Amino acid sequence: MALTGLVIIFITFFAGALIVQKLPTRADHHQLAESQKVPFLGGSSPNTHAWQRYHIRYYSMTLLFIAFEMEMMFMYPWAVVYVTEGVKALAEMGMFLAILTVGILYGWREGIFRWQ
Amino acid sequence: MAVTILGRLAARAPVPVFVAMGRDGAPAIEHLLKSGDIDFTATPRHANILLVAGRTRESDQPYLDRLHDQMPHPRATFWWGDAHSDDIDEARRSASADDPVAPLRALYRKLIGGSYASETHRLSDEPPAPWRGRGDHGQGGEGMMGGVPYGRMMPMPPTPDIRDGLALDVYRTQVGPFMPYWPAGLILEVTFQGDVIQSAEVVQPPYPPRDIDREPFDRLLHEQTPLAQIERTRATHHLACIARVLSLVELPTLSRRAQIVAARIRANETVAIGPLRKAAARAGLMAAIKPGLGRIDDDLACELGGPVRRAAGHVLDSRNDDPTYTRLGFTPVTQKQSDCQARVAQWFDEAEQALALASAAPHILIAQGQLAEPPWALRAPPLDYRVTELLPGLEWSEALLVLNSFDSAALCRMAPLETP
Repeated sequence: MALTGLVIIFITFFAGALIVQKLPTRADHHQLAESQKVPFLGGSSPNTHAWQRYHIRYYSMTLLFIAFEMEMMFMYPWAVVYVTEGVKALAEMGMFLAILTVGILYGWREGIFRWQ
Repeated sequence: MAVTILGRLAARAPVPVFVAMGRDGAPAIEHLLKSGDIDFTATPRHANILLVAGRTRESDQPYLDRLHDQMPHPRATFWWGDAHSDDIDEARRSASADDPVAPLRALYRKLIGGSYASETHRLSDEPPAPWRGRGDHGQGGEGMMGGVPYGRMMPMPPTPDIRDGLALDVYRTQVGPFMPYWPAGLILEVTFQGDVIQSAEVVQPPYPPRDIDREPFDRLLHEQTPLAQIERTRATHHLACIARVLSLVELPTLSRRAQIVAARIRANETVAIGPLRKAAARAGLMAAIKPGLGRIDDDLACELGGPVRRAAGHVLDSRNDDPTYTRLGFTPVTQKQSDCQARVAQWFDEAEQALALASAAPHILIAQGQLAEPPWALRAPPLDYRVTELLPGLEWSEALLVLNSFDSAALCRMAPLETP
C-alpha cells in the first residue's frame, strides 16, 4: 500500500514536471530565433561561437584556492589516522603535497602572488 | 475577458523603446525625454519597438536588421525622420518635425492589443558563428578542450598580456554601431583579453556632428547671426556630450536632466547649468572618472582643437580676437590635465560661459563671414592619430569613458575609415 502511494506520488510529480516544462513552449508561439540567442553587441554579430575559450581573470585565483583548500581538506582526516598508519601516511601526504606544490609553483610563475 | 483587460492595462505601461540613433536623431529623443511616457531600454531584448531616429547609412541596414530580430515578440520598427522610405505605412513613421510620442504610444497599443501583427525576422534564422567541432555532437574534436575547434589552433593572444603576464585566449568581436553610451554609427573591431582591450580597429566611422549643432555656424557663412544663438548652440552641444558621460557613470537621472536642460536651452528658455553641475559633483561624477584616464599629448590636443585643446591648457579661442566678445569681457576657460576629467570639466565651464554670454548680449549680431569658434574643430581634415591607439590596455568601462570624452567631430577625425 505504502509502495503504491509512493508510485502515485512519483508519477504525479513526474507528470507535473513534464507539464511545467512543456507549458511555456506551448504558450510561446514564437520560438527564439538564432539572432536572439547571441549576445547584444549594438547590431554587430559575434565572430565566434560562445564556446570559444577566453581569459577569465579569476582563473589564477581559483587555482590557488584549490591548491590550498584541497590540502587542508585532506589533512584533517589524515591527522586522525596519522598515528596508527605511521610512516606510510607521512609518505602519502608528502606525495600529495608535492603534487599540489607543482600547482602553486605554476601559479607563482604566472604571477598569482603579485598584488595588483 | 480577463485577458483583454490585462492587455489593455499592459498597453498603458511606458512604451519600451530601443533607440538606434542615426544622424540628427537627437530632437526625437528630446521629445521622448520630455514626455516621460517612454522606457528607454539598454538592449533590444527588453524593447518592443525599435526606434530608428534620424538618417542611417545604407551600410547600417544589416545592423538594424539584427537589432530588430533581437527584440522579442510582439515587435515593430518605428522610423523618425524625413529620409525614410514612403513604403513604410503611416503607423510606423513620423516626420522630423513631428512629436513621435503619440504615434509610438498608438503603435504600442496596437501591438499589445494584437491589432498590429508582430514583425517577422529579417535575417536568415541561422547561427552567426556555428560551432564546427569534429566530435559526434559538434562538441569540438581531438585533444584537451576540443583540440582544434575551428579547423585551426586555439586562438592565442597576438601580444603578451600587459597586466598579469598570463598568456590566455583572446576574444575578438565587432561592437556597434547602435548602443547606449556609444558614439552613434561607430563600429570597432575589438580584441579583448579578459576585460582588457588588446587592440581595436575602426570598421565604420561615427556619424559626423549633428546638423542642429552645425546650423548656426554654417548660417554665419552667409548671413549675420545672433551671438546668443551661437552660444546657446555651443551650450546644448556640450550638454549633450555631458549627458553621455553621465549615463555612462551610472547617473541616468542626471543624464536625462542634462538632455532636458539642453532641449530647454535650444527652445530659448532661461536655464542655469550650475544646479546640474552641483548635482553631478555631489553624485560623484568626477570621482567616477579615474584621474589621468584618456590623457592625450599636447600635439594631439592642438591638432584636435576646440574644447579638447583648451582642456589641455592652451588658451586658443578665435573668440578671443573678436571685438564683440572682447567687449563682453570674454576670456577663454581652460583646464590643465588633458584627460577625461579635464574634458568633462571643460564642457561644463564652456557651457556655463556660453549661457552667460548669451544672456549678457541677447541682441548682438555677429557679422556674416566672421569666424566664430565652433564647439568643435569644424571642417578639419582627418588626423594621422587614431582613437584606437588610446584604447589598448584599458578595461571596457574605461574605454567607453575615453570614447565619450571626445565630441563627435574629434572622434570622426580620429576614426576615419582605413583605406586598404
